[in-house]
Amino acid sequence: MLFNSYEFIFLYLPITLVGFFIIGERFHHRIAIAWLVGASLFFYGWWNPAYIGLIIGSMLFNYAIGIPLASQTPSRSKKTLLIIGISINLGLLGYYKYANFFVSNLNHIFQNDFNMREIILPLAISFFTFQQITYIVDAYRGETREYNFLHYCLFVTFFPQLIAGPIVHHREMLPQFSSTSNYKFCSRNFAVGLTIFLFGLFKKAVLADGIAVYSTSAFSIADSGVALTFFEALGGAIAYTMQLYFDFSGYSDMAIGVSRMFGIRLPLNFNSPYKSTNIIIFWRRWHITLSRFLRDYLYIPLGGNRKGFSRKHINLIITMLLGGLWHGAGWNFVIWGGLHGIFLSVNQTWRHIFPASNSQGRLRKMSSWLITFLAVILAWVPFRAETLQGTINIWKGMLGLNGISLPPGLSNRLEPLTAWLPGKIILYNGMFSQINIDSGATMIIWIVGLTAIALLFPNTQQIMHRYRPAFETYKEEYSRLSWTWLEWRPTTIWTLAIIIISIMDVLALSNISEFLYFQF
Amino acid sequence: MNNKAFTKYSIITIAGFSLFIATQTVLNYFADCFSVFHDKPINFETNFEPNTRFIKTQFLKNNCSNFNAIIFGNSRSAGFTTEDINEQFEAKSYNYCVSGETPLGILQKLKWLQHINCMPNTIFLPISIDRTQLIDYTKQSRLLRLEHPYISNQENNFFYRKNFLLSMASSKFNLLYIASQLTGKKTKLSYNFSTGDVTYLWDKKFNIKDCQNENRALSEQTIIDFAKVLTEIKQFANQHNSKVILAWTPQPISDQLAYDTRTLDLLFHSLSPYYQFIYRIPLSDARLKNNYFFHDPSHFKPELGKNVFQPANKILLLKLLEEIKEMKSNCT
Repeated sequence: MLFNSYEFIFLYLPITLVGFFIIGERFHHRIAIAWLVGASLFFYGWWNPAYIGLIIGSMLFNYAIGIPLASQTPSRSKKTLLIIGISINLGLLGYYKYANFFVSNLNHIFQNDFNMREIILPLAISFFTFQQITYIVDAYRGETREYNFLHYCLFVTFFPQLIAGPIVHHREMLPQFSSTSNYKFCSRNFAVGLTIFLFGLFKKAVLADGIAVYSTSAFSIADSGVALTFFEALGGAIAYTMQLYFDFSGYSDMAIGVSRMFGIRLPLNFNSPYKSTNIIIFWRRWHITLSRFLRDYLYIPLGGNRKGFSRKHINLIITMLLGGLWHGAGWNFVIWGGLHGIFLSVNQTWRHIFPASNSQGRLRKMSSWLITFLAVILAWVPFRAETLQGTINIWKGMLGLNGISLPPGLSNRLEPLTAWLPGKIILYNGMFSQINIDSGATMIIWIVGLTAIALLFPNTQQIMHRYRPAFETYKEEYSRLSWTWLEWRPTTIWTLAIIIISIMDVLALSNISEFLYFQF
Repeated sequence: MNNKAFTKYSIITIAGFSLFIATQTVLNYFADCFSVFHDKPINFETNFEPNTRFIKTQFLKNNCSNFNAIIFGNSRSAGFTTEDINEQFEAKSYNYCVSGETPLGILQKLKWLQHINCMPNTIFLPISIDRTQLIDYTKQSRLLRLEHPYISNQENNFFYRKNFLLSMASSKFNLLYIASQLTGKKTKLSYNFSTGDVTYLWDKKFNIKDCQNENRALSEQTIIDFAKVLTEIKQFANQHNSKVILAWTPQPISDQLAYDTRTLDLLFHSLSPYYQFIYRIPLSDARLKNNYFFHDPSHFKPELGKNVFQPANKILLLKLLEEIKEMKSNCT
């Protein structure tokens, strides 16, 4: 079920919420938890009931393996058990997510035509597998308490975060399930959660889906082999950059908001990433819970920065390559991860050579931001393009190698200035003539508007700062606004604003689209 | 801040939002410019295009036994009238043409007709090269192109018609519809409830070029996909002893000559193993250069449509390919 569907908003959420608090106040909390687990499994099974068994099996297995891992004293058999546990989790993920990719690559290398039956990727398998790996690893490390089985089930299946994160940690979630105050309806939590949810829905349904037509059009044309000119390629790439951010951060806001209605706080997942002035900061602000997982459970166990300069860079690149592959079984994701690994490595080297570069002036900060932003846009191209040819077409276009096309009306004025340029660098066919869109001017307005919102506006967490909307991964992660009047409070002005936002949300829902991160 | 303030905020927000949704729902349900909530069991004229998928499917569900032939196709098939078809083929036909129809939509409709034991004996299947893919997908066309729940197997989906109740596009068109009713705006089309025939009551001024050797190209995959569904239609019809009569939709000559020979070759050769003959207006016919016979560059009039299915206009499919190529070669 999608957060941005009528079924969810008008039926599923109200029923689940009302049911939870009625049961929570009148009966034992375990029944309320069981209600929420059942509702979450229903939410998961709405897409394909066949995979409910898979998630239940995975839960039972990991809980069962977590008990001996947590209780035993350190021993060799415990390590063996951990390796078996991780291998089975990764094996399951590998089978469903990577088997077809692996076989098709082997076929390509060895010129075979071995066919596997088409495996349908179970929704959210990457998310619930990673969450449970953290649980068994921490159980092995002795960092888990003995948790209640129902609480554990809810930790894995809790519907707001089940499908596309944030990737929660058991230390954040399980203590909240034990808190008795969370079983009583709290109007403050509901109001805060409702507001965050509506902000998220606005980001997804109005902003992300609004700009999607432009990115989709540019990338599909590039994938079909058309050489895009400079503005078409750059416009398409920026449009996708904004679409992905508003789509995924909108989803995360919705998850945080819905969860808060139940009195449960989730970790922050986005913190205005496009405002970052270097790639290291970008990864502390983009999909924060995935970066945290990769850092704690991959980069550090690989040795992190403890094994010398070159090993540190190798570890970084390996982590990002696997991070890329986590997003999907395709070389495009590997290229994306590899690029970010290289960017991070370059950034670390720069810091190593110029350790004082933190004290930057305004111009230096601006140029750092611009370089970071361009690098991020460049890397999103293979992430989005369906073919390698599409990626190359967009990259070439962004570099101006396919020419720069301007509005025909400018030809008379600029012809004398551009006549001396070699070949066909400047064309006068219109800025977006090859992209199938209604109006180039509208596309520019969307791109400029959304870029301005992403760069200049406060994010949801800053607006909701007074009510501590989410857990922070880094201390003082989101700064307080200097204009505190912009912070949300249940005032008349905010009520009117939120009613307008909610109406715009529902009006924009008529063309329901999936969240981009559902495919991961 | 006490809890009262949060309670008040939540109640007012939900109430304000609910009030808007309720008003919008009532407006869209009763105005119903797309004719999806109310049956109109009589012929009517309108200045707004209804969703004919809903009206026609609902009608056929109750009356299909009265017909033994179905005319499929998009809005252009309004140029083929049931009166002409009935006379030429001694049939009892129903015009099931709908806005923006696709071959896949036709296949779905045939499967549904077979499911309710109403498979027609004769299927009229007009095609044209420029409708191999749908390009225009504005919000209105999405509403016009939503299939009836019988066709899309959504009969039990409570929310299936939600877009007609809750979308901004639906509200906008319903408000325009109400305004046009009040101001008495000129009607755009008339609809014959019992035959499915649609008559366009408008003509747009335009010029037809003698030829237009543009060499527009379609991707190989697009043509393969298009031909594949047309093949499936033929196979499905054969399985149920129905006859498919293929027709080349009349278009201004310049549009018919606009595609490159690679695209044409691929299309015709993909179809030729399954479809031997096709009806068409000969490309040398002067009427294809005369805008009197067209409502606009895309829609031909029944005056031209009635000639398509004359016996003399039936030729081998590959002969039509040669005819187009020959005309193109004379086009400079």
